[in-house]
Amino acid sequence: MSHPSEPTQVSLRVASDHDAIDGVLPAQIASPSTSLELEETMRDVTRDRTHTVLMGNRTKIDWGLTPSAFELGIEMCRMPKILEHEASDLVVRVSANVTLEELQNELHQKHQRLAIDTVVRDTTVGGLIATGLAGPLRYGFGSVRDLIIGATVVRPDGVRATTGGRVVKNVAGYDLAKLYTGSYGTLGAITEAFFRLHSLPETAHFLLFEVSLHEIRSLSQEILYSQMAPSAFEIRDACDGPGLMFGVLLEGTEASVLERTRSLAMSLAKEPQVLDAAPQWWGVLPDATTFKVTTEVSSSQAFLEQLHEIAESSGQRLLVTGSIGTGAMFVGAPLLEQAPKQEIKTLTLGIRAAATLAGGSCVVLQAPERVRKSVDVWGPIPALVVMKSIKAQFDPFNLLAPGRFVGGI
Amino acid sequence: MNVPQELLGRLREIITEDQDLISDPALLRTFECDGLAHYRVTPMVAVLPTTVAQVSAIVRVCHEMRIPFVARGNGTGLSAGALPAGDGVLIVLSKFRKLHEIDRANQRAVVDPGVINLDVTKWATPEGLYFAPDPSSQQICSIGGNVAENSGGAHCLKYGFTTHHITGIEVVTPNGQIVNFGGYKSVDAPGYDLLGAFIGSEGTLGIATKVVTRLLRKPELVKTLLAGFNSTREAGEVVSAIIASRILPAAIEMMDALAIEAAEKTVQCGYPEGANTVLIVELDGPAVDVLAGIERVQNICELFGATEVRIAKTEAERALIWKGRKSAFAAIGTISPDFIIQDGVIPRTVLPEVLSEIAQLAAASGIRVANVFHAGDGNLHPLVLFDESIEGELERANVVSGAIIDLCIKYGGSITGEHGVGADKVSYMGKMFNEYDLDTMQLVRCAFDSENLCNPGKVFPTPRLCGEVPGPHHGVHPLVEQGLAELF
Repeated sequence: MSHPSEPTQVSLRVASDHDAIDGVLPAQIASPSTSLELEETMRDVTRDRTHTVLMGNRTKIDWGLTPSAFELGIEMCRMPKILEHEASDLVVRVSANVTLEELQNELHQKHQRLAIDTVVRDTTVGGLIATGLAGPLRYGFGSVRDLIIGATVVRPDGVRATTGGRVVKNVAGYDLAKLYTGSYGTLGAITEAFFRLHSLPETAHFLLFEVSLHEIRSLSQEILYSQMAPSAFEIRDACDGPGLMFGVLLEGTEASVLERTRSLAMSLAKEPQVLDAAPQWWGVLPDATTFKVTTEVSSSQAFLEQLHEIAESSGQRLLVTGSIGTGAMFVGAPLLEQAPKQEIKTLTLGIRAAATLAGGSCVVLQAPERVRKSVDVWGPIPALVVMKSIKAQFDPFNLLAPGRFVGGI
Repeated sequence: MNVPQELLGRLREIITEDQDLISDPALLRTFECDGLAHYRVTPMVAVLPTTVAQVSAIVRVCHEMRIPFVARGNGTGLSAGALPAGDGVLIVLSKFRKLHEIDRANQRAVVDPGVINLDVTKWATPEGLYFAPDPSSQQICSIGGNVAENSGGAHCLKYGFTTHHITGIEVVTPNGQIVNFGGYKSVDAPGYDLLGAFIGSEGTLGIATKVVTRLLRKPELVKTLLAGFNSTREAGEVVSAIIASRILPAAIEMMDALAIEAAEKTVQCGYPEGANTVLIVELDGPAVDVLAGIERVQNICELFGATEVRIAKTEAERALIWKGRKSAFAAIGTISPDFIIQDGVIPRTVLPEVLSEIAQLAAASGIRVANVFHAGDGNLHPLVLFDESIEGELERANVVSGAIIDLCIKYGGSITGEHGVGADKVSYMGKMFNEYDLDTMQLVRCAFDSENLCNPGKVFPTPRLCGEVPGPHHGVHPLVEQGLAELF
């Protein structure tokens, strides 16, 4: 099953402190510079049973759990950079080591974009796919899994495989690009992907409404049922009083945006602050300790009410940002790292219970090692038995990112 | 085929109503094919369960006895995806017809898999909501089938496919376990995206027994434009110009002269007289956008030489425009006794080249090809016309049909945009994907169904042997030696 390969020399170096994840230092770092080198490196991983973590720009390298074993890091930075913008087809082919900013800059030149926000700066396309991290635009355009249309991966046994394609409409074969999205590097190395693109809007208005906690449900429904087709519908809540902020992004032609801004203000009977650029809190993680919470949209008010109670009773500061329109939010806890372990546990369980009650889930998205080591980072996982079975097929020796993902995967 | 008595006995313990367990070969013929009727296989036995517990129990029996099984919805698929296994059990989900809930506040519907696509929209309409995927068969196709095939439709240019509109599914896995994928009514369930893997897997990874769908707000305004052109090339240029002008229509459909002729004969849709090609462009959304957008589309059409442009003023006019398009497949029957429907996809920008190559193929073979397609996303539906009673025509039509798929692959497209691979296109999978790609997909298959019992013979040209260690292989597997399987 091996590819015919040219003799190549993968660049290898001894790992330094900088390469550690949660203090665990690998022996070596490999930096393949071609797909063949990556395939060869991965083949060796399986042959030698080397516990391995894949690395892009390492902006989210400490997400998930500490690897249970870590002998080799594989850096993607020296791989060839590919960025082929097929503007008339509204499609882009891009390699995993291109950053989201680089990609957007290129696309903007032709008045197009990948409708995914840069939630974490300098994230690579590979890291974006591996974590499935999406921001405010997910309300209007879906998240990473909805916009990826094809991917090339190298499996732990060194086999390179492609799934999907470069056309948006395609149902041939299994949709493995979605399976790889959000898989945290546990199934293989993503080397490149095709994405569906959208046109850049001519004008964008960010409408900020000050609202009260008890109005969230009714106002959310008003926006969800409005005819204003927002591109994003966000919330910002400091959980320190009854007041919080709704943000609605309207995009389109100038005439349309002006008209819709007026209509929305009228139907909500509230005068918004209108900005041409995103406010500073828009689409960023609220803190270095951040939970990702999902809820049913109709239960977001109930969830936030509980969160306010938790903040008050625990004395912890909590900060919420996120897509209230899709029920996918981020809860930051800036003081949690200093808290006693038991308090970290109690707070996590409290937020998770509130999310579960609201029909969703809660995971620790990013946090200092101490926080992640004190709690169940991923929480209960439905259908875990199926996930483990998939992992066993792709990576039977549990060599890629071992122990980092859900249920010990 | 004779049904093993043990199987029949065990199924009778699960399905107690006599009429819901069918083993009479004459009655079984009802289920011998789906919408692609030239593939026919009579199943050994068919069961019509009414509860998920029954589905699970049936699958467990099949799994224990190593008997293949195939799930079937309303049998409208066009790739023989629900073709029964002759030595297997057909699990018919037509009794799963319950609407559990229209959840207004969450804009979700919870439905049984046997519910008809259009009924979801009908039930949601009083709340101002609708279910976006709209395959042409939406009046009869079931949601379970939509999930299996990842159905699209005319409006997926803007709204995407079934996979973008499902947030949760209850699944009976190929070993009979009942599991839930996705977040039910919430998004982003932690862990692998099993929803994404399952939707579009063509019934090979299990049986969906309950589905949670998104519902979208009905748009404020819909405008539909019909334009006639002297050539498909001009119409193709219009499509590119619309996209370049930053407008994202809900749908852009194209029909060529033969397809127009057939539609006119059948439903008298009143398309522009003498037009060689028509384009249907539909915009929806906030009124202010739609009104401005449709004017721009009209200008573009005129700029590129439209012979006539019409914008529907009433719902009746709009319906008539769509009637021509939606009846096109059936209408082809009036100009040709037999036809093959293809479903390939090409990058939108190569539309003119591909159409001209299809025309050359048609001319060279003497086989006519009518073109009806979702032009916005490059999903071709060439209809290859022939008369089976004329000797050799079927064979020549098959050659043309295959050559069209080859064209799609050559131009970087796909062998299927919405109908699925099923049993029909398995032989083309190896042209679009290499052995490693197919092997990798089959790792997922093995994770779900190591015995290859669940809808066997679909999607993949050859089954993978599960349980083997990935990576380079040594020696010959006994099954390969016996010619029973092929290793990638």
